[in-house]
Amino acid sequence: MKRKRPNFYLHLHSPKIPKREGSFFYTFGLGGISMFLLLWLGLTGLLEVFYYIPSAADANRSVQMITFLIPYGKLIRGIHYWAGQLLVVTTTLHMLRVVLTGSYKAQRSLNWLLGAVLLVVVLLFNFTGYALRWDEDISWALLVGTNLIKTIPLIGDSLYQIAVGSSSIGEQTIVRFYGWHIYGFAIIAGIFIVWHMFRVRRDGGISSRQDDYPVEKITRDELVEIEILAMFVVSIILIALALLLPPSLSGPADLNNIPEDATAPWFFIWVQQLLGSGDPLVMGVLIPVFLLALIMLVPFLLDRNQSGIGVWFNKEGRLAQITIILIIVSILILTLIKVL
Amino acid sequence: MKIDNTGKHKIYTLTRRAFLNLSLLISAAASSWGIIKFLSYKAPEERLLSFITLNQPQAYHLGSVTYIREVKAWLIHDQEGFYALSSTCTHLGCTINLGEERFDCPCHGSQFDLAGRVLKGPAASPLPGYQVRLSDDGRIVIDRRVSVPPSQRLDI
Ligand code: HEM
Ligand code: FES
Repeated sequence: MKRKRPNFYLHLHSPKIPKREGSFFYTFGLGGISMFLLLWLGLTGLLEVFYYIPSAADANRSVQMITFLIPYGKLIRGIHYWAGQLLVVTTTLHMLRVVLTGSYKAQRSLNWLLGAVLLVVVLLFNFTGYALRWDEDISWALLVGTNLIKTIPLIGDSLYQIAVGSSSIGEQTIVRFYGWHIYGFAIIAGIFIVWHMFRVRRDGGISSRQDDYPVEKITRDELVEIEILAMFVVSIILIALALLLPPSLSGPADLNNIPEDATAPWFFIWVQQLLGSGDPLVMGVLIPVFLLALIMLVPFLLDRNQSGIGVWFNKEGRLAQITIILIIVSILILTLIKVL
Repeated sequence: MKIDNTGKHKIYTLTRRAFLNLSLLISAAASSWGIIKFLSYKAPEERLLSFITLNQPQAYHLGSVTYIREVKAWLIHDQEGFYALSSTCTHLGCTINLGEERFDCPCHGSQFDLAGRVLKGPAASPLPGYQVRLSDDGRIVIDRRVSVPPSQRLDI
């Protein structure tokens, strides 16, 4: 590619990237893959909007219709679902990569915060998305999740009112969740991603070691080639998952029924497990909020060193690394206890 | 805001910039208030019946525990008579299942005995009881508007 004016996609990258950090085995492409998954989510979601009906009576039926009647509906819904699930995994691993390579330090601490907001948005996107199925399986998680809001002192009742739109889950709730899912969170995610990317460039590009000069560099064309390859691979994986493991869908939600068993969406099973062992406010609200605060405080409390940037498992960042690993491992253990 | 304290009195002058910032702040506060009010409207929604008239008492034999979905309650007939318990778990609101001589909650594993007392947490309070009475034509009525202790029975 020997062009005078780089095309727009090329232009998004720094002209030169340090060789070591530009390699796949530094970032594992996790941030980039997350972006690409979001692009898939946007496209397939836009298509689903043409058939989805946000009403208690018709929502479930309209998802059945997308799945079983509309040509390629099963594929489009499957890709949308799997991109959402993979996004939870890739953003978590991306956060882990950033913490293990000390890439949150110094000027990048703001970008760490922006990333944490994106992680929360990804989870909320996913939960509201599940709720839009309006099926038996999700209805109990929806009930528990919203009732949890009520346990917050002082503002709990008002927050519940704003989230649910009535004194109990119903017509108003589905319209609100729909609004947040396709409009509210989409706008927030859009703003924060553009900001996140802007900060990467502004903070001097991808973090790199500061000791080994002169740094060997590659041109952005090389990086873009790897990225395009990654996009193909991710797309193939998405299509395969959508066809081989299509997302589930049970009958319409009816909260007057008796559930046989009720399991939260997989990324919140750890909260469900916690809720079984104590006060709802502590287990379901305070502990998750505390963990989030701990994550956000990594560059401000757990590791304020300026050195160790770009170094895997740098010793200045031990406390931060151990904290994040412990959080992820505890969540995994809680999930496994519940599932097994 | 500029503070001029060359003289004896402090003189506060409102610069144009400060004035604009202040107006911006006030409009932001006012619109946030409006947005919160807008989102807080409580749409009327009564999904449950407040009471229901069922069959004759004979339809619910001794020892039966029947789910009445319209009022989300369990109707129980034991030695001493009829009573009704809310089927909504007092932890976070899932509907409880009938297990072996007790109720189990599928969400976080709370258990209640047939009198509604907590056998196992995380639920902290017992299931509330609803009034059971007979209608004029001798049929069973469950009334959610009247809460009664579960020990109170309709004895027939
Ligand atoms: C929707 C979710 C997210 C997307 C799409 C995203 C995207 C990206 C991309 C494309 C990069 C460039 C380098 C790379 O690929 O690793 C990046 C860097 C970065 N991200 Fe994210 N990210 C997301 C979530 C997060 C989260 C959850 C955190 C941490 C709490 C985070 C913190 C950072 C930081 C600090 C950098 C700079 C790292 C460096 O310079 O080495 N991001 N992000
Ligand atoms: S809702 Fe019944 S145990 Fe949590």
